[in-house]
Amino acid sequence: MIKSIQWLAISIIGAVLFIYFGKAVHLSTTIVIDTPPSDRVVISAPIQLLMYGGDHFLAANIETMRLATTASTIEDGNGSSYLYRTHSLVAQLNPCHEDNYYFSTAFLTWGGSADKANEILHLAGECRHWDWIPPFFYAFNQYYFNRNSDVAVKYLNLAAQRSADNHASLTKTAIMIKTGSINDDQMALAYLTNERDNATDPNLRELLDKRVTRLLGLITLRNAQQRFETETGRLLKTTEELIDTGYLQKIPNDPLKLGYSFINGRFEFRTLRIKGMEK
Amino acid sequence: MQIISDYKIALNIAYRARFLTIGFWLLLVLVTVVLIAAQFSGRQPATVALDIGISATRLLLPLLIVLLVQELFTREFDRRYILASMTYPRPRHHFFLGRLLAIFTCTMAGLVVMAVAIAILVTIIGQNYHQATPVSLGTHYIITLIFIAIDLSTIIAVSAFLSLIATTPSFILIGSFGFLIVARSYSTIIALLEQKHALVAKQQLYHDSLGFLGYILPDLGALDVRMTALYNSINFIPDNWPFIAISSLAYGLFFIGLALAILHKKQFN
Repeated sequence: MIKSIQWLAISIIGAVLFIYFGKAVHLSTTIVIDTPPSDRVVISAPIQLLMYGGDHFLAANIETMRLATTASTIEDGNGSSYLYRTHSLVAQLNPCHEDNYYFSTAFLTWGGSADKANEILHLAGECRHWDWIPPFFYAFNQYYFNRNSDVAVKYLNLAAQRSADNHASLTKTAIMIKTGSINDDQMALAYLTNERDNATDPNLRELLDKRVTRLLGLITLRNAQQRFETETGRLLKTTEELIDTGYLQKIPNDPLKLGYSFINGRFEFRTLRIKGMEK
Repeated sequence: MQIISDYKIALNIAYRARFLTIGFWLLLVLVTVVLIAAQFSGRQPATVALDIGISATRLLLPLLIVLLVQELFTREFDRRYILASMTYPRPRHHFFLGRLLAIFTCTMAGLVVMAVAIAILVTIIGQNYHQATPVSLGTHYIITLIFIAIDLSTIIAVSAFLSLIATTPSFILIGSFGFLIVARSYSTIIALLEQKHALVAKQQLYHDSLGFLGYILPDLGALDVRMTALYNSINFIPDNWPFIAISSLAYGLFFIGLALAILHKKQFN
């Protein structure tokens, strides 16, 4: 009996070390992916539960680790379905998981799937009844991406109730949104730049840097439109007008390859439609 | 007092079966897993370390239970050691309860050692990164461990029962872990089906079938109250916790009674 447990223990330690150092080798090597995988398998929550001995916390942790080690290998845009399904799975297994809601905000919100990120943030906000960050992220997304000021104010007030340190600034932001006296582009840029600068993981920093570049592109387009409309005295009808009249040299490059859309006289991020995930 | 005598003999047998060495290897696995798991978390390394530590404890200790049950019960019946053990005349339930108590003692000792190791590791890991939500290693952690102890006690009772009806030693391993997986997961699967209707077709059929398990198995999944320690909040303990705890213990008592009834009727010739 003692021999078998000894070898079992050695094999488990070996497997864990193999996965850990395998990951380290993988991350330290520059891999050029010519054709990124279009999709990846995510096993459903009940099956995961049985696989991990009925332990949904363990299943949530393993999936989050898998995500942390593989997310950086996914080309933005192409892997959003995988990212959403995995984040959503972890949110089902353990909605309180901090890494899950935080990284879903970084990956999904600024990767063209703000609504999907909001679903995960909503679950996290309900589970983490003391944490002010999920309602703050949720409020931000509702205001910036959905232009839903009422919901944004409601969740900013909720975040303010939960945070003693940031109570004043969160309440002030809620009032500014209510009165329409906020520069949302600058607020978004400040928020995203701060997230990038505080990221310790180099892969996450790189991912966030792409999202900052994308946002800067949107701000460039909106500024060009504002100058065009102020100086010519007429509303912009097509994007090409900006280039033809010299207000813009070229359409800014989006590192996420999603691009920008011009709808109802306003430049917006082009959102990503995830196949099979639409409601 | 004869139970005490059987208890001491059982502890001695467990010691000779190198229970301490097995415990050491399991502890080594736990420490390795906890230390590595913490490296994968960007925002809550101490929480993930504690979370994985509790998960590992809940998987490794049932393995220890199965090995002890095989050593203290199955081996007795398989190799007819029971004939020598029962040479000194005494009631059979003294033999059974003494050994059951020894398995319980070894398991609880393992739980305490693992819990202390996890607490030390989590404290060390927590010093490297200041988390927004710190873990609780005080009262909330002790409550979590008490619930794990109830979970393990039920598994001990079921494993001991299986050892009396098993025809092969591997049946105890398969039966105990089969029971563990189903009893720990069915209530969570029901909750997932209620939460996400699109998970399976004929959701109601699955729901009703799994709901039936509630009548024949204890809800060991509900005994996992680790969120109270992970997120430092007592609100995560279910309101009906006394019922969950008592029903699990009663289930264990039922199987101990059943095992004793079988043991008294068992023919060893």
